[in-house]
Amino acid sequence: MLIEKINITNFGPFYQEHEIDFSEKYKGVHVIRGGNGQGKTSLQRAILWALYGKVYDRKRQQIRETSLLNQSALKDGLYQLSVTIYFTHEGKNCILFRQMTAKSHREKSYEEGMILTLTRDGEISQDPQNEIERILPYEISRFYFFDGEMLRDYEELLEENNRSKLLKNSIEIILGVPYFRNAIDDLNFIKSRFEKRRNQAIKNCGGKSYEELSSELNTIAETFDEKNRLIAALQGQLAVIQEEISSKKSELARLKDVKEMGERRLEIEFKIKDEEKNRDEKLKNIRQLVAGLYKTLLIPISETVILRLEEKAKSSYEKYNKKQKLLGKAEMLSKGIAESKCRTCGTILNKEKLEQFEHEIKLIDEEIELLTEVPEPNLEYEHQKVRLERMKNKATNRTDFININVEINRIDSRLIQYKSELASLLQKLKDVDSEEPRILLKEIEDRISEEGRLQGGLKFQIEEFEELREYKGELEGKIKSIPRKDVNELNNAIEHISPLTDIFEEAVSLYRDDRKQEIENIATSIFHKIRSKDEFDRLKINDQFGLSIITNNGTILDRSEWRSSGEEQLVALSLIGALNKCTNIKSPVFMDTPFGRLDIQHGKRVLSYLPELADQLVLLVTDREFKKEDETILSGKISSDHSIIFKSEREGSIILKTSTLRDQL
Amino acid sequence: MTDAFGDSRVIPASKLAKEQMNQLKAKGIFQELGDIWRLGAALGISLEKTSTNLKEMETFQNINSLDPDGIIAAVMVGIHPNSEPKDRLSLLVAYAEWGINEIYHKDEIGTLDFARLGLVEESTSI
Repeated sequence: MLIEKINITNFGPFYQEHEIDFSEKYKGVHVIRGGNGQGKTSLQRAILWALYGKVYDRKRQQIRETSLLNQSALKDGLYQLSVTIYFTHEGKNCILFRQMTAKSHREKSYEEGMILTLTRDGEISQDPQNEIERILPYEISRFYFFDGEMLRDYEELLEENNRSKLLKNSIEIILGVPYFRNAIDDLNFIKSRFEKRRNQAIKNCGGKSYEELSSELNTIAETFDEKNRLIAALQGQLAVIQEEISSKKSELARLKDVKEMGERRLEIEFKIKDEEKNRDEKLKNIRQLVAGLYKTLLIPISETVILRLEEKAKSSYEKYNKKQKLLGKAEMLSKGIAESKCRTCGTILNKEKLEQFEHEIKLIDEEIELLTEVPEPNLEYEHQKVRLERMKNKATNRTDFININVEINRIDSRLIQYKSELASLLQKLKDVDSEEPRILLKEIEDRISEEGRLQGGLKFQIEEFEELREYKGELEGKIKSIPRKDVNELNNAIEHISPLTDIFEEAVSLYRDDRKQEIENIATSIFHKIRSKDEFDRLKINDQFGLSIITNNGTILDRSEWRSSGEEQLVALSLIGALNKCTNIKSPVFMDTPFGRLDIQHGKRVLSYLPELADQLVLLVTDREFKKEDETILSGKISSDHSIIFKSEREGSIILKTSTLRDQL
Repeated sequence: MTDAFGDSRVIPASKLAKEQMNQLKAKGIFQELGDIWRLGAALGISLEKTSTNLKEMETFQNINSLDPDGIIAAVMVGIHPNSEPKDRLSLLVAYAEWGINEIYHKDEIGTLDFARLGLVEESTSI
């Protein structure tokens, strides 16, 4: 692309139509001079706006459409601005025309009134914006339309951030990396289309490929067989358990009789114990009766003895009474003798009577003498009699023995019966373990529990089995319905794309490395031409396309703060120069105030190099940075020389050939 | 207490009688040896049977233990009022020895019937 002519109407400071003509000699350096605020940057923005329909300020903020209209035009009510670029590209004459017309001075109105046309040799492009992107992609325009004030943006390439990523992408576009990437994208697109077709082909198969379905079917078949075996095993275990339960229940039923016998045994043992206790009681009673039996035996004798004792007592009393009477009589006789007077009749006793009394006393004494052995009544007889009489009451009744013996006989009879039955039961229970029913019951309970568990497990497995069988059938049906030939062909195509993608990925990497090396070499070469210090040996490129300065001593100056702003600008120019050399895109380079940060020496060095930077270079410079002697440096390389002059607020800025301006002056 | 037996306080018993009493007690029919001795004495007294073969006499028990109510003494005094206490005791021992032997013998042959013991026709001794 080489610009031939530019027409600007009502854009920025340019009121009405203005033209810059490079047609005398497209290639070479085109100088456009202008002081601060004259319109150099606006000119560059006008070209960018024509190309892309949007422009940004130095703060990277998009400038609103309403701000692009010239103020005088606005005052005139002319809501229309346009830029026309006449250029050649690939041997064809092209005209790019962008116009913005609005009914009112409002953003939306301008947006609606945007017109863009592109003609190539008179042929109108159907998709002008896309054409422009093809000629000079927007992403890389920063390397063709750069602002000296913004050269430090390139420092960011030394860091890794979002901004540097954008720049890196832009650089890769310049280097043609996207061609490879486009190829990869195309391959992926093709792959995606194949996959879509394949997916469509197997849409009715659950969205799975034949291989996936086959693999799934195999897995299911394995699981199916496994389930089948598991179910058979569970059924076997269940049958065994059920057989055991049945067997043990039969055994338990048999033992139920045993249990009853056991209970009867306990009952009889209890009765025997009870009867024996009862018998012991009876025997105790007998022993008590026996203890008193001697009294019973003595009763008949005692009755005789009592009679004897009564007689003895009576005899004893009689003797005692007789003695007492004799003693009384003897006392009376003795007193009569003493008083010579009868105590009974009061008769005075004579001698004869006295002698008679004495004789009687003598006889009485003799009689008393005979009764001396019974001084008093013998109570011993009385006591013994009482004892014997009481004994009768305490004696044992013989019939009690009979009654108790009858009872004991009955008890013995029952005991014989019980013991006989017990012996019979014991014989029957001889070989039976009393714990066996309980153990059996526990075993049955355990097995019933196990049976439940197995049945539950079996039910679950059978349900899963049925689900698997159903799913297996579905899968088999799906596999049968797959158009296998088509799907296989598509799969083959898809499979072949992946290696190609890998190849392109590798190619991108290799290409990128190769181009980076090339950029590093070219940038170093340019840097050698414009560097100020011989100590700076070369430049080294990083993954971000940032350039570090390597000194002769090998020191790497890879931090922006280690370099002056002028040195930064040199590095940036080296990079831009290298990129322009490496790119396949041929486009004019616009440089707005490129020497702003450079001293005279560096300015000269850069200036002397600039003609090599691009076939068509447009320098937007101030008088201060581009002086008369600088023209000498570019001697023979300046193709055109224009100046932008601010005339007045009403007229705005105008563009004149510098020679014309000088003539006017 | 009666002086039916004089100053004697310990009743003698033959070795045989004691052995018989022990065996009878061991059978559980009698609660204590004294019960056997009293029943034997009563049996001898009631049937007026005495043992004449008193050999190997040994001390047995105190008279107060054997006749706590003095019944036997009263009977002995009643039936032998004119005997000397010593003789009366000897007689009692002879009654008892006979009676114990009789009981033992009846038990041995299985005819010991307490309901009929002491009745005249029940005597089995020779």
